[in-house]
Amino acid sequence: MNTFFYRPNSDKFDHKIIHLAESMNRIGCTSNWVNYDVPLFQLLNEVNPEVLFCHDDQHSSGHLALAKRDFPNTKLVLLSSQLSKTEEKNYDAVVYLSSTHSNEPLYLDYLINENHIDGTHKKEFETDILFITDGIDSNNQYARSSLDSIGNKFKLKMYGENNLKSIYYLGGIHRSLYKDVIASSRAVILFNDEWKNTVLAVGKIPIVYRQKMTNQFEFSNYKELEEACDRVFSTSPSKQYGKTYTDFCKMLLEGLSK
Amino acid sequence: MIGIVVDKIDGSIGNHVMVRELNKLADKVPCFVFTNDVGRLNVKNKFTILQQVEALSHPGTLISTSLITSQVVLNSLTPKKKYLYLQNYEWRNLDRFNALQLHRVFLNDEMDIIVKSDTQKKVFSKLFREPSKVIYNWRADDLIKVI
Repeated sequence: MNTFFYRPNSDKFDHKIIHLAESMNRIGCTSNWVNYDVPLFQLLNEVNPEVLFCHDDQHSSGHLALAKRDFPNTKLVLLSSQLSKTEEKNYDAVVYLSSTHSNEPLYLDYLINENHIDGTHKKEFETDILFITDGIDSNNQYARSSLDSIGNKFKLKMYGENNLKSIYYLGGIHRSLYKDVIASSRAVILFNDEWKNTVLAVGKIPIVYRQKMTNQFEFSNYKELEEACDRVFSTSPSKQYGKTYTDFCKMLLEGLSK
Repeated sequence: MIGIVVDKIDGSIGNHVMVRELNKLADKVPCFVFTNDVGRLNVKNKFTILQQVEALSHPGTLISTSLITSQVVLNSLTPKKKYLYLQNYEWRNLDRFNALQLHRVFLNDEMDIIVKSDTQKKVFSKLFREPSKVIYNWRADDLIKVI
């Protein structure tokens, strides 16, 4: 099945969409990315996708209605980041990205990405504490100074899209290597939940930022972060499994086929 | 025989120390500096300055001083020994780069690492591998031991 995703034109790109696209490939679909400004009918005429994922306010309702009429075999799915509920009549399904819709059956939470759980421990990536810089603002001084302090005390390595201008930031890596990087660490510092369940599924410890701590591996300030990193060495975590992005894809496609 | 590959040689403070120490070393062994950018030096050099391309056929110990000059050293087939003398954490100032680009230099078995201080040694060991030597500010007495 040929699925197409629009690459959003904003830096504030919900990374759940990347995980969703990657997981589509696992169930025999082909995920393709197109630029945000590719006109709808040009895309539909040229590639005739079976599933097309769109974003809020990207296409007018008139265009969508015409598209549904002229391309009945193409399923249109909205990836909605809005806090209020979206009118669904123009779409075959709406996937909700905002946690305000957590009760919706098609609410996409941060799940396990199976593409990143079967990595190999590699010496060149070996570290105690890992930080993946995707999704973090390169100019976030607080994050940089906190992580630098952690790096001075522990064995810390940072990889990812965004250069934090720290000596512990060691560059970008190909997405296919994220699983090896995670497998080569003991714990992963996270400023949101994007990688949390994937890290747990590999048997590593996620140390997650929260405004208010609720367990020993969460932090709301630097001191708590340092204490959480200290606890890593006296903990032997086990793998924790849960819902995966693949499960979500199957559920979505099943719904679309009805 | 020792060869140092640098991006630039001039009268700046960092280079001044290197020139001073190489001048001391040149009294004992042949010394070469390979560079494509020669500025005005504050003191007369007792070592030979050649173009970087000449480093490709240098037969003695060859030492690079940056990621870029390491490419020259790694591509040279004739040196007896190869080193990277880490001057600073230069990757911090790079804009976009890939981790494998650092691994190809810093984790390359063909080349040993020299650092300037125990602090650098500690940091580099955590991030990449244990440096083979600590030489503070190009000290001639220590440099001669790597030949």
